Amino acid sequence: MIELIKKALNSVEADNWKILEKEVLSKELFFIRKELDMNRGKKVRKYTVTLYKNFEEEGVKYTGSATFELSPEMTEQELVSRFETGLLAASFVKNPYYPLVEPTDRIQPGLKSDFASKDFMEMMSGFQKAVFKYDNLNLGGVNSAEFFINKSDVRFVNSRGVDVSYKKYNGEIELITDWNENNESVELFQIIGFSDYCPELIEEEAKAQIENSRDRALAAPSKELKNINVILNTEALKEIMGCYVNQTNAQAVYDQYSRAEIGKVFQGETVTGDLLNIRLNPFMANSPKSAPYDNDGFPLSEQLIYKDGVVRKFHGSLQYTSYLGLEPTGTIRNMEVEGGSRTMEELRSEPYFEVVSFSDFLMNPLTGDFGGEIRLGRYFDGEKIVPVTGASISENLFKIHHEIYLSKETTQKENYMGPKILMYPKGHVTGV
Amino acid sequence: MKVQMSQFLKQNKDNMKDLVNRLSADFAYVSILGSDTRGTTYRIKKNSTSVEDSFWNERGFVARVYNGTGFSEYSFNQIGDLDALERAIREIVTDDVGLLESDEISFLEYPVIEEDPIKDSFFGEIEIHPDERSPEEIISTLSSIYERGMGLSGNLINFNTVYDYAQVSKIFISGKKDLEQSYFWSTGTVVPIGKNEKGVKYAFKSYSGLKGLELLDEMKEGVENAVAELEMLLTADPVVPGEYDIICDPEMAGLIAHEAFGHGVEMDMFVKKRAKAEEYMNERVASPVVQMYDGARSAVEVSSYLFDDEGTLGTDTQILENGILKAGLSDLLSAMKLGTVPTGNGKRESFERKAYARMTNTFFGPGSDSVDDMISSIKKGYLLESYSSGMEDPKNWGIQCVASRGKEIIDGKLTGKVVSPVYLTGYVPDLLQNISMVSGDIELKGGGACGKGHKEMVKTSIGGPYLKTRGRLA
Repeated sequence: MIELIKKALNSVEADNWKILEKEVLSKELFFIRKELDMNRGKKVRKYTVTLYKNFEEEGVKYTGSATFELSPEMTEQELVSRFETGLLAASFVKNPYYPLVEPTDRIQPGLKSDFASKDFMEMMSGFQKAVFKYDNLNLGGVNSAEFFINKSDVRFVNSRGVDVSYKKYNGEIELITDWNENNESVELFQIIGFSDYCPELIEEEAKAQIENSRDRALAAPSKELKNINVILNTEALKEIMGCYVNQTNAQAVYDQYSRAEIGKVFQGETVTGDLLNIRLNPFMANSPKSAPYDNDGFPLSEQLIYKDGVVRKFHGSLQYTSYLGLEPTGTIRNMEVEGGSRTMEELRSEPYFEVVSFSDFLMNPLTGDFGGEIRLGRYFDGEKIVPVTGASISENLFKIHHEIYLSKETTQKENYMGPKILMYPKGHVTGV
Repeated sequence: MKVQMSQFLKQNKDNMKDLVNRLSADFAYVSILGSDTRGTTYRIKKNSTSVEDSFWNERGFVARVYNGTGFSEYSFNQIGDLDALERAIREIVTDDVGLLESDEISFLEYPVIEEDPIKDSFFGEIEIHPDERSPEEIISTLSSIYERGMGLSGNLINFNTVYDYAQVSKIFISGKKDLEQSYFWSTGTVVPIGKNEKGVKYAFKSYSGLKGLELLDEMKEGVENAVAELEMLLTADPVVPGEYDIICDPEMAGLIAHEAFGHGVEMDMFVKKRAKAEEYMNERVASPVVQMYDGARSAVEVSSYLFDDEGTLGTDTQILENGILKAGLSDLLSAMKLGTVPTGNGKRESFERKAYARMTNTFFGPGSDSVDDMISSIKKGYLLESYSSGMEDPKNWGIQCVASRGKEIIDGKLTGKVVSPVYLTGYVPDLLQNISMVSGDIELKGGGACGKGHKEMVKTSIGGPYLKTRGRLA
């Protein structure tokens, strides 16, 4: 099909083009309690083509582009028709000039995963057994679970001579657990993403979620708390660190949304908490977002973006790094954050409110606003820990990040590797 | 003009029928849904324009087959080699099911789907198809909206202007059903982004409908309002957390409908015992002034269709009648499990995904109060306008809706002070039981998308009148 697409491209006057070919094979299982509700399979091949048109107006160079998806059974005539329409659109898209990825001799390593050598159904068997391993209690357990395993073949070809490919793997489990106490049932929800065969990790996650569901069932409505240490868990921390990564993205800088300045401490002039150390690693093990190349076919490598709180580098696509006149990094979707100065035990040594599970934690990377309703929290009053529910928090990261503390202990959650918890003092928790 | 059926689906309809016939020799139920959604997204912002496929584009098929106990599905986008396709489907329906049985996995049992014979079709109508205009004209119109917006305030750092359209074509074939539909929707958004000493803020205004390029005229008219809203947000402070009398505008009311008793009555959640609503059918869950509806035939908006992604005809469902919970929304398999009549709410993110019970056009019905009377009845509270996101908790009836802004009301008057962001959280029945006033006119909008949990995005619209209630804000 790629040859047919190239042939059709030759008949239109695109200055440049790129083709992304992706074939995904997947198997999916859907459980209600321990019974299988449905099994599914998928084989889908797609081609995404971008056409580029360079032009000049009043001495300024521009690059127009148009992107569209093609299906594998389109005829040459259909392809030519789509390309002609696309090229017409591209010629009216007036973006500043940017180059395409050029071929390189650099050899990128492939992604390592047990998925490569294991059969779909063999892995499904292991994952489903892991989810249900601790589902043997009377009052609660797994309500429902959905399993997805994908194996993909990805190939990039562009008009500059780039022709690279790699295999990509990812899995996902949507897990709902519940607990019945005094005729009242509560539930917790999470999606676990991975790219390696990891039944032990799934067992731990499922076990912890069942225990947290029990705690939620026993939780009392939260009262209002002021001036309290607030602790956020990995789920929220991942989103918060994503905000810092976003602030150093070349597009956010170019669009003037970012507050980041190279060489300056992002958290302000007087930081009394932990300083940020963040790097981007395209090859993070067991991350479903790992990739040796980005969607432009750019070869990716590790990038340090914050060192001791100082912004060291802006990162992003070839288009936007080119606009800023920076060394290109490509788009990397894994972040590694160094642990902080205190242990989890130290962060929990004074009265605190710890959020175990939000209804939906929201982090706005533009404004810094974050918050959400709390499905399960733990309140430590200095003497005992009590499970609570129903409260909510609403803060602005940019107003509190001069004093945030990250745990020394680290963990991995999908494309995030870093501290397990974050603590900020003087927090406000609304009560029920 | 009438929207035309996809040529791709028309050309492959015989293949779909042939595949159904081949598999029907061995399996008691076989259906195939063919989807072809084609659209383009135009984005204009500072120094950047993009033209790309709509997020909603898809072209492919999904086969559903009765495997002797329940149902298996296979998604694919190449239909030329029917022999290979038949082998692939049999591998899922027979081989995989056999492996799962040998792994001692028990199956939830379903009866075979019984269908009445039906052959029907629906073709929507729009005024202007984007293919009738050149990309230059569309980009030029959006650019003029962008430029007018940028010129309205010195605080603006950007003015994102987006037009997105999709022509949705579907064919559903089973032993007894032959259904075709093709309709067209457009959405538009303008997002002014501003910056001052308080930081970066943005406003959001959306437009939608079963419309074509004519939607651009509506977008042109909303530019001044969008920038005025941003100017207000730039002066906003956070809300002092607490419980307040609130008025929700139609967008915020729609979000509450969607999160409270939209997700809460999706009946696949009844099958999983994940929805508290199942225990409250025919009981009071809201104040007597509350009516609520959902359905592909309840309104004319972006989720109005003839049949859903399981071949069930769309309906008009009244969920709440005078505050009493009367009905839920079901996909076909959930209805079979629960012994109810399917409501035509079985929707897929795309042909690549499973069908779930999903909302279509969800809204509160009108009342007879005026907005002025609502404002003058409040001693201290907020008028909540627009929204950025919401989250459901059907099991425990928790709700989280984030309003873009709250306009302060003191002693029955708007003070001009604005708070943002505003998290409205609480217990669904408390929020709905406290609804005391409902305005007369309703508005629906379908600019966004709806997920189930954190995935499975589908197109829905939401709306309602202005509502006065009491809620916890943070």
